[in-house]
Order: sequence, then C-alpha cells, then structure tokens
Amino acid sequence: MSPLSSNELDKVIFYQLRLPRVLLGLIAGAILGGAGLVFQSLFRNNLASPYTLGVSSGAAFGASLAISLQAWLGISFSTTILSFGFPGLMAFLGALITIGFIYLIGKTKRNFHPSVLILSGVVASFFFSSCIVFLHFMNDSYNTKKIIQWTLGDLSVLGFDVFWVIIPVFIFFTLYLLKMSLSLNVMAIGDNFAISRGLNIQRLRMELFILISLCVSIIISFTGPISFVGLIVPHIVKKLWGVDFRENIFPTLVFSGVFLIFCDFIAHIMVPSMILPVGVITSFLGGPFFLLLILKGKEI
Amino acid sequence: MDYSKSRICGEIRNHNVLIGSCHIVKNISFSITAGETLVIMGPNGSGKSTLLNSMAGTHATGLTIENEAFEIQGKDVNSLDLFERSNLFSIVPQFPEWQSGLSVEKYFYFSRFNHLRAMGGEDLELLEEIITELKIKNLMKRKMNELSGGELKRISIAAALYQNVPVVFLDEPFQALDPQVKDSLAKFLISWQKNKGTTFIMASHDFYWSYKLASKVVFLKKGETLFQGDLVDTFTSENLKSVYDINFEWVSTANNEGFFHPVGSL
Repeated sequence: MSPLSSNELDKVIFYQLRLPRVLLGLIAGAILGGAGLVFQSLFRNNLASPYTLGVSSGAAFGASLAISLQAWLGISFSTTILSFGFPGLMAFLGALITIGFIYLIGKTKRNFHPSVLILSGVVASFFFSSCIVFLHFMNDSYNTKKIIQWTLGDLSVLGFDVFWVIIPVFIFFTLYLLKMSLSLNVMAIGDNFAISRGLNIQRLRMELFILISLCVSIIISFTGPISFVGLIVPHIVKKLWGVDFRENIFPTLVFSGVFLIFCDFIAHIMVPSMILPVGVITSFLGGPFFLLLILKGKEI
Repeated sequence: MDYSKSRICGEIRNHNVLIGSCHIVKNISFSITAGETLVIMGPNGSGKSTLLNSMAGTHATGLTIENEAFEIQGKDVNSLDLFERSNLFSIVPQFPEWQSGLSVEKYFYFSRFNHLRAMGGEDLELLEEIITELKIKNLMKRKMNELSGGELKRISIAAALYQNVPVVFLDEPFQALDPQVKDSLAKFLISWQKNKGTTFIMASHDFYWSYKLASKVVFLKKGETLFQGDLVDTFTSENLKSVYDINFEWVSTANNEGFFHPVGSL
C-alpha cells in the first residue's frame, strides 16, 4: 500500500477529522445549551444545567464501569455501533437508569415538582459519583486516567458514522424546543398562572425532563459530559435576547455551538503538540465567567 | 337588587379539601349565579384561599379534593381537563406571580394561552378596553420586576379578565391597593359585570367594597360555612361578630347608604 501524498493526507485530516469534529461541536454545544436554557426555567433556578438531574453522573459511571471491565477482563470490546464504543453504550445505559430513577420518584412524589426532581438528581449524582471514585481505587493508574479523561468530555470523532444518530437527535431537539416555546413562556410566569390558563405543568415538566435528558444523554454518551456550556451560554443569551423563548432559543443553540468549538480550538492550541479534552477548557472559562457576573453585580 | 335577570348557572355541593384525613375545608355548598358577585369572607386561616384554589384547580399538590357536585354552565367541572377548565374560569391569586425581565405586554399575550392554543388569539380591542379602564396603559412596556405591588396586582386582575371567561375567582383583589385604586377597580368590576355578565367569586377582607359589590355572601370559619345567603339578610353585625369575634358597627354615609366596620377593643 503506497503512502498517501501530502494533498491526500490533508483531505483525510480535513474530511475525516476536522470537519466532523466541528460539526459535532456545533451540535453537542447546541443541545447542551438548549437543555440548560430550558432547565433553568423548569427549575426556576439560574444555576441549573443539563446535568442538574444527574444524567452526567449516570453516564460517567456507565463509561467508567465499561473501561474498568475492559481492563479487568482483559478484553477490548473494539466493535462499535455507529462510532459508539463499549464505554459509550454503557454510558447511555447509565444515563437511562438515572432518568428512570428520577421518573419513578417524580411520578410518586408531588407529581414532578421541580424541587423533587432536583433532589432526586442530587441523590443520583452523589450515588454515582461515589461509585466512580470507588472504581478509581479498583483500577491501576493507566485505567484511572482513562476514566477521568472520559468524564472531562472530548470532541474527538473519526468519520461521519456517529451523525446517523446525532443529526436526527439534533433535528428533533430543535423542532421540539421551538414547538414548546409558547408553553415554556407560560410556565415561566408561574404555576398558578399556567394552570389557570390551561397548561398542564406537571405533564409538561415530565415531558421536558425526559425528552431533553434523553437528547443530552445521547450526546454525552459519545462525548462525555462537557461542563459549563449548558450553564454559561443561556445566561449570556438571556441577558442579550431576553427571557422570551420565542426569541432566545435560536440564539442559544447557535452560540452554544460556537462557544464549544471555540473552546475546542483553544484546547488544540493551549498545550503544544497535545489536544486537551474540551471539557478542560469549558471548566477553565466557567469560573472566571461567574466571577465576572458577580463583580458586575448583575443578578444570577 | 334586581334578581329577575339572575340565573343560576352553576353550583358546588359538599366541597371538601383534605390533607391526608384532616379537613381544611368541609362541606361547602353554594349556587353560582350568572353575572353576580359572591363574596367569601372569614378570618385568616378559615380556608378562603384554599376553597378558591381548590375550585380553580390551582391548589397545592398533595391535597385531596372531594365534592358531590361541581357544575358550571351545565358542565361537570370535575370531569373537565385543564384546557376545558381554562375556557370556563380563571383565578387571580392573592399574591401575583411575575417573571423578571418579562414585559407587561407579553404577560397579557401569554394570558390568552387557552385561546392561542385553540387557534383563537389575541383580542386587542378587549385588551385596550381593559388597560384604559384600569389605568394601566402606561405600564405596557415595563418589565414585571419593575412594577410596584399595587401595579402588579392590577395587572394580574386585568390579565385574568383578558382571558375572557364566564367565571373569575379573585383572592383578595382589594388587598394592598390604595383607596383611589380600590374605587376604580370596584367601578371597573361592576361595569365589566354589567356588560359581559361575568360571575365573580371573590374572597375579601374589605368590608366596604365587599358590601358594595356582592349579592351573596358565604361566611367561613375554620373551614366550614357559618352563615350564607343574600347580602342584606346575611351581612349583619351579629353574624359578623360571630364570624370574626370582634364588634362591628354600622357606619352611615350619604344617600341612606353605609357599611359595616370593625370596632377595636382599645
């Protein structure tokens, strides 16, 4: 087999590595940002994020367990389904279990009241986090690092297989959010207001939590839980575009995607000859951002 | 009061609200008359807000609601879904809800949600009429977090009326308003009722305005009905004293009119 010419190599790098990476970044960012925007309204808490309900911990545990099993059993499940490897599929399973757990509690206690959802999310987060730390101890340093690296979030992707899943999810997510924008607005004013105008907020909350968590889970099962995008960008967009969902959903999706690929760009150049996981950069930017908000005296 | 025009358009029979097995509201029954105002009065904690919210469906989750019958305009309210209920009645809560950063204009638009969903829409003529009469036209472009308590209260009432439903529950609408605003509100409610035939079911502590607006009264104490009936028969100083455990005196005003007022024990 003859080596590729430099021209052909550039093409491969662009079409197989760079282009899908950028597209993944735009879509993943958009879904995380959109989820954050909706959850901040759903939970009436501007510090809410796509991970408030603990799906990130469930996914991280699934992936960590998969990596551990591969190390302990000495097998390497190299078969992938549409680019989702064994850790990815286990991550999705972990996220599903978390969603199921929150659903069961929400259904039986006070009908999906936000405080119940948040508290169950906290329970799930703590439980899975401690399981993950346990796995850290049960693994050697090489695999522990692999586990930690997964939980940071990474946009690495090869080829376009994953988009068979990601693009339909993105299209559904966007259309669903746009369709619900009026209901979201009505719910945001208050429970009493929403009910008296005929909006079934319990059913809406359940629907939103499940559908959005599923979309987020699919994304983070592939990329790992990328932090802060779903927290920062909705804040900025709301300050610039206001609280009306009919006007701020589209900017949120666009800017969350752009923000993520910008962070990925920094992740490429920050340490020479190394591509950092994008989650490192989003966390880096998150702290100073909040500091800025606090210092400027704007209400969070 | 001319009763020839009044029609019974609904009733509620043996309405109970419980937490677990404990009654907060017990065996309340009354008829709902189209185009009239029914005032529910009673001391703090007597269950007025709970009664209104439980009828409107905006009560806290975890409460059990039971009744023998609850009908409005021939429809069994218990079997209606939220959307159908929102076409029948609305509620103005005691403490208005608001969203920071939302303009008053948009608040009114979202208040028509039940119409927007059903391919109806805004009714700009109606809105113009409401905001002009209630003198809140100048507040339309303001954000809800910038409003004073009284302004918020007026807007909350206006939004419920803009929903344009036959029955409106009002929980202490006169609370926290200055006398001039109370006067315009009362005048507006009376003229609205005359023109549109809306039924008001109102909880209030305001002895002056309740007496002016109501045609029927229900006095609650500890969740149960103590007295109820037509205004003049039921609104007496003896009954008021039994309900509120404080003396009431009749104060005469011009034109042979007057009102009841509590007399302190100092």
